[in-house]
Amino acid sequence: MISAANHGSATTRDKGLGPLSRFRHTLRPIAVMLALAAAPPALAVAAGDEQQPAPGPAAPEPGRPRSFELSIGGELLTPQALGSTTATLTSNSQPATPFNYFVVSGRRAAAPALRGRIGYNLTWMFSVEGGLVLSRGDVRGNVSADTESAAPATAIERLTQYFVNVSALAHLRHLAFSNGAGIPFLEAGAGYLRQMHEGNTASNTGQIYHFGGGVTYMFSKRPASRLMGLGLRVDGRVYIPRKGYSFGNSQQVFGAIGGSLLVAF
Amino acid sequence: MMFARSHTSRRRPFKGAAIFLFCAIAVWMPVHSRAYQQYGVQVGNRTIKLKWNRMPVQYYIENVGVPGVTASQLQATVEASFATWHDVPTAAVSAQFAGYTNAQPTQDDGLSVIGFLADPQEPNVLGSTDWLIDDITGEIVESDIFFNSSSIPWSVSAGGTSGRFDLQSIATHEIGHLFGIGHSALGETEQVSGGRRVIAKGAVMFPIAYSPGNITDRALQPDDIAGMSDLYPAGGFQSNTGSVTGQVMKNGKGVFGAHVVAFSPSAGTLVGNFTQDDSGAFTISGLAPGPVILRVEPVDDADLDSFFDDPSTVDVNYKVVYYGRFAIVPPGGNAGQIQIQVTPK
Repeated sequence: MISAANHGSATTRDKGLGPLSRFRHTLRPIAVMLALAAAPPALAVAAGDEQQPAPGPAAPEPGRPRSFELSIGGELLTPQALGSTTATLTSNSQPATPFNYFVVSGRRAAAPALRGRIGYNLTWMFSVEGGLVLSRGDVRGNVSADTESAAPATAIERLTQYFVNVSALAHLRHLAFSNGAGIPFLEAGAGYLRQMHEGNTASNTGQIYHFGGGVTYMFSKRPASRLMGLGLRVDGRVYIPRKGYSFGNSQQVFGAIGGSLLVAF
Repeated sequence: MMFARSHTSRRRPFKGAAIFLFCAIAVWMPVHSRAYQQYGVQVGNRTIKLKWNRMPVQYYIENVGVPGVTASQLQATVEASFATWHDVPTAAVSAQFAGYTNAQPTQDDGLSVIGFLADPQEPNVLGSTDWLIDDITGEIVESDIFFNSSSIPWSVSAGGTSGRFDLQSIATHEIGHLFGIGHSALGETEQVSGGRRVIAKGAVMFPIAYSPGNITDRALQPDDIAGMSDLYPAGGFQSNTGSVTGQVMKNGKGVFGAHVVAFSPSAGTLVGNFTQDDSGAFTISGLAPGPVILRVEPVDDADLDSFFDDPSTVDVNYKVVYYGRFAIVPPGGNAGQIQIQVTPK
């Protein structure tokens, strides 16, 4: 990691003290992040920086440090098991034991989602994002094992949920393709989860963590313009909710795949 | 069973009773017990909830013991049972021991007396509660409890005693009545010779007791807490819990006496109530906010007169059914009108 910082310093030394100083400030937190991550990304920093043309202030390009990206698109949330719980009475025994009245297991169906994100490139390799995901899907509670042998039944409701999250992204420039237009990335983050039950009269809140990865493909670059480029982003995420709506406090992981239209500026 | 008295020139009280059995049940209630959670008192054209208007309730202990239980042990047991209800954070109920008395728990003397009474005519009755009611205001002015000492073996042992009924468990049930709540139908029973035996239950206020030696009913269940909190709300009960209202219908007509249970999958709590008139209308209060599953069943695990004034009007000919949607309970509000269809057996 130290070698990456040293390497970066060397590449910018001929630009003058100003850029050198700023570059060191950005690389120090990167070195810390890399120390917490695996070794290959650290090598990527060196390789990525080596591959990049010296990013001068007069040559804006998508992904350059201190630039922004705005993306709007959609996701498909995979079905989510919400756990299972048993309605119990207390049996006539000593010590008392639960007596099963009936069992309910919950599942949220696959659901489409809208999403919007705004990202800020800290360096060529690392960026941070804030995002919003809004989805709506059916939750089904399947009732079975009734103590009086009632027929199995299903209760349904429509659940609206949104996640407000922040993410850290690592852009794997050493794996770039199509002359640098396509760049894979990895991401991880956390956020606030709010779930509104049908009618929006009751809600659950919690946290939601995620990790995943994808590809950013810039199909239009306009280096001389304030609007530096347009592109597409395709990605997949694994969501890990905590304290959201569940039956029996089960925390169930689910996934998402999505695509976005991307504007760099 | 209606006793006209004239305690004061304004008051024309009458007396009701709720009893607690372990095998069979009979109820003498001049008050309308159309909901397990609460009794209604007819005052003129209005039905007023039966409740105390002043707390703490002053109570006396009859200065008589029975084999195995002294008067002071009875007092300590009753105090523990009052404390169980008092400790419900969402219900504003309290009681104060006023002293020992030689008065019996059957006298209309303005004193709420708790004691033992031999009732050989009702060998299956463990305990009984009655009230003296101001029929102008509906306010309870006196309530007596007796525990049947005729042939019932009692225990006040901390861990219960095999073959003996736990006095604290039964006292907790009767004190629920003393404060004004009625019976719950959250229980499963089986027919045995001479009556019914509890298989399991979800409320202290279920009308049939656990077997001798069992002390489970010392602790309240969510259904009990909801019932008492709905009658004497406190501690954010009204803002933090919600309710479900609706109708149970069969062949286009309302079903009277259907038992409706709400289960919160996230909170894991069961709370029930009954449809209370011929329109099939029901209300279940004290529910944790969020989605609930609704289950409707005929009342078939205890004698109907444990719950209703006129059992002949209660419909029990339909299948157990679940409502096909989650009812969404808002905090401090109502889930909206729900209609549940049942079909004949």
